[in-house]
Amino acid sequence: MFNIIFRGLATGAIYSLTATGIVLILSTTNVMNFAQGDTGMLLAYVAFLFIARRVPPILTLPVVVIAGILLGLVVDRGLMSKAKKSSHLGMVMITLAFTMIFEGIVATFFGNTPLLFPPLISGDPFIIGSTVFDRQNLLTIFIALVIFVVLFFVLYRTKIGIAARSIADDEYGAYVLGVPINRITNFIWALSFGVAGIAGLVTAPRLSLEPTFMVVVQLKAFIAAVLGGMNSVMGAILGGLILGVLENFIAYYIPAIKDSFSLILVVLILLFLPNGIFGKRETRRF
Amino acid sequence: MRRRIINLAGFALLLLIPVFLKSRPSFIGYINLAIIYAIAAEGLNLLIGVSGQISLGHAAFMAIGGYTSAILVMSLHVPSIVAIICGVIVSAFFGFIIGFPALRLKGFYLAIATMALGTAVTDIIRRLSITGGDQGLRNIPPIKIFNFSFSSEFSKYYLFLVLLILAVILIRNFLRGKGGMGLRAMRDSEFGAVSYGVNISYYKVLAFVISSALAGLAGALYAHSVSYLGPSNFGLALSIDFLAITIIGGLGTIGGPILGSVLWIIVPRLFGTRLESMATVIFGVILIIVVLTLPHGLYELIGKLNKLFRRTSQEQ
Amino acid sequence: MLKLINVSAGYGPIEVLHGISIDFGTDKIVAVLGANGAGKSTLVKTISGVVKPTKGSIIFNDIDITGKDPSELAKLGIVHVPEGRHIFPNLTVKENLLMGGYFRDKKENEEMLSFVFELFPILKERENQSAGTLSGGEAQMLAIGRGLMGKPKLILLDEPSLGLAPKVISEIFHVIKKLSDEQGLNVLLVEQNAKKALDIADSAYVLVLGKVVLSGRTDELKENEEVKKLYLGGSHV
Repeated sequence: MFNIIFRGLATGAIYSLTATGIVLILSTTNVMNFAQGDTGMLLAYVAFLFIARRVPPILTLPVVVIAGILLGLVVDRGLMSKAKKSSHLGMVMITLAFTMIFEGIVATFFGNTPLLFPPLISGDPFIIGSTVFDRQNLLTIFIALVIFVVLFFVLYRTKIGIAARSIADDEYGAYVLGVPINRITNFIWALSFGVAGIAGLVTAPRLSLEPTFMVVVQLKAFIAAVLGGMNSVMGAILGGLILGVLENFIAYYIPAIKDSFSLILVVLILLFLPNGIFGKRETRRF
Repeated sequence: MRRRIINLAGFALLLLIPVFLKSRPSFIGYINLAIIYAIAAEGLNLLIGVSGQISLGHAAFMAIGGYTSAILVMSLHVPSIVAIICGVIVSAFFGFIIGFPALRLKGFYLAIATMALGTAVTDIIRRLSITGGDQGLRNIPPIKIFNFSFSSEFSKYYLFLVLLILAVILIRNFLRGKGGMGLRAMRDSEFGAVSYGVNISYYKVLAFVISSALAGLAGALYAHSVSYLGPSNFGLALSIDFLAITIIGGLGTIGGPILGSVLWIIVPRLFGTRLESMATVIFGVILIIVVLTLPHGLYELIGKLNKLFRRTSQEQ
Repeated sequence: MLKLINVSAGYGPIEVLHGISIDFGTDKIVAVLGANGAGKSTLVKTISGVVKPTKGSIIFNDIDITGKDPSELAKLGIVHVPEGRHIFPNLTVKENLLMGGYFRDKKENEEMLSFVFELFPILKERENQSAGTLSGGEAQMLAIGRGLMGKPKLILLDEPSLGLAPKVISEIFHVIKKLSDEQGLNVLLVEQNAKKALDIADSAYVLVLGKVVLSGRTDELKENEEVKKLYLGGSHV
């Protein structure tokens, strides 16, 4: 039973990471980033380039973070700021265009055949009682925890983090106060893409590396975000973990509905619990 | 008068295209695929461009139509026309079912819900044995009307063209009538539309029904043309492709989806198969450019160029 | 101080302000009165940079600030406390205040924090509560306190009395007057509550449909028949 929970937490950690990235961008800029998963995919391929040159997989972690931060800055400064005048459909289309571009670039240079991605950490699993603690899963949960702690520190203890939350609360109020909205938005995109990179890196060893390997993860991340109320990072984290654990339980006991379960769940929640399980106040809709 | 000549010439050209390409049936095949996509795209265009809703699950309706028709023909030996009509009806029915929950969702949330539902459909298709599961259905027979088998690309071209023209005429008449005005009013201002007595719910659901019916038709035509249906072909990627086609071609216009589909299918083929994934990148870039600069897509651009051309030729 | 010279402004094709001229002169508190829709809020937004003027210019302490953004103006010493307050409900009272001091350094922020807490002791009590739990009056105090954090030379108050009980309104106006007298803070006070505004202001401008129809020292205006009829005798007392 604990095996199920442990594996569920590892899967859930990935959902949480991706969902967090989505919620960060959504709450501060009201853009739903449909390319969050594929960003992680692109960055995972970047890591793969390093690994092919004999760099130890675990050291690619800072690589994806930095690459993600840079990519996020470029995307926001170069594009999203100009896109502000577009309709919401337009913004959605732009992020969808990113998925096309990222998947296309990867397919052109690496082909569509799945590539094997080495685990970030090797060694035998730890066994305590009847529970098996696989090292890769353990590392995933650990990395996710570290990221979440860092995120909370940034969001609650740094000026720029508090400013980001203020923009999420009331953009006009922040604007009038003189808070530099553009600069903080840049920061949020950079942060989100860095987190996306980490999500991609920890997912790659579990599934093979191919242009679409993060698409399913992203879908689950959206479900997790909806569970968590769509506008709180804490909600996204909890939503992801709960979804991961629930999924694993269902996979074990009722394998037939394993995949469709979360899909039906999200539709039900969207219809009946628009604020998710943890959502605060009113969710932003357009 | 001049206009009519141009229209007639264009029409004659359309009829003669396959004759010109008789030596390259595979190219006609691509054109046929473009026509199929155009039919589906017209449906999506109605949903997004005219009624202002969004769907990231359009490909699923195509799958439903295609599988329904294919299964009816293959397992129950239902005649083609009936099977295709059933495919359309079943798709429309699912559109009807989805239309209701869609009433309560807006924007991003509708996008997520349709994305989830679209994926759920392909999942279910994967699990059922009647649909061939993961392997899909092979050797789907071509459309047969009165003992004539539409198996050559040549013959399919004319059939599909007729259907596309019918679909376009139907849509145009619908848009010009009360239905179209209701949808457009709704897209522009729901609040305003309600105060004029427009029954919003009716039109929203109607939009879903029509768009899924068209996708279903496209799916059925696809099934009997390509002869193979696989669940992985109808996933999120295809839904996103349709969105891209609709937007690049021109949202809210009737010619837009056709233009978009033609570009989508034919342009990458002109460059050879090795560059296909590069084509996706280029389309992504074009999509971004269109969103940022041409909200009504390339169709609008052509319209503007046309005006420019006419003005300069008038000055001469 | 602040000078508006023939300023016109609006939203897109709709012009709301038509050639407004205002001069603070040596006054500390200037009131802007008018009915709903007269353009008072637009005026404040034009000064604070949210809306860019289409004609005319705005001079602040001899610097031309026409068309500058709110972030620049915040650094120059103009702070806008918006209509409806727009406090951050999911942030704590303290975090709200810190956002007001975004451009100041840590030491200045600590100074101003203690200043604001002295001014509004109730805020100190609720320091770590989320701002969404505050009552209307407390929220207004928070909004003003947040504005003060930026160490402004000029504070623009847009309808501070909106939705507040009379006793609370008196408290707040008392604090505003005190700030002006003791700290030398200049205040542009946009108010529907003409009586309260004229009680503390030095001079006032009356706006009707985007134009200044009347202006002068408050003692004179209080005696003016039009003003008495339209703004002082009615339901705005």
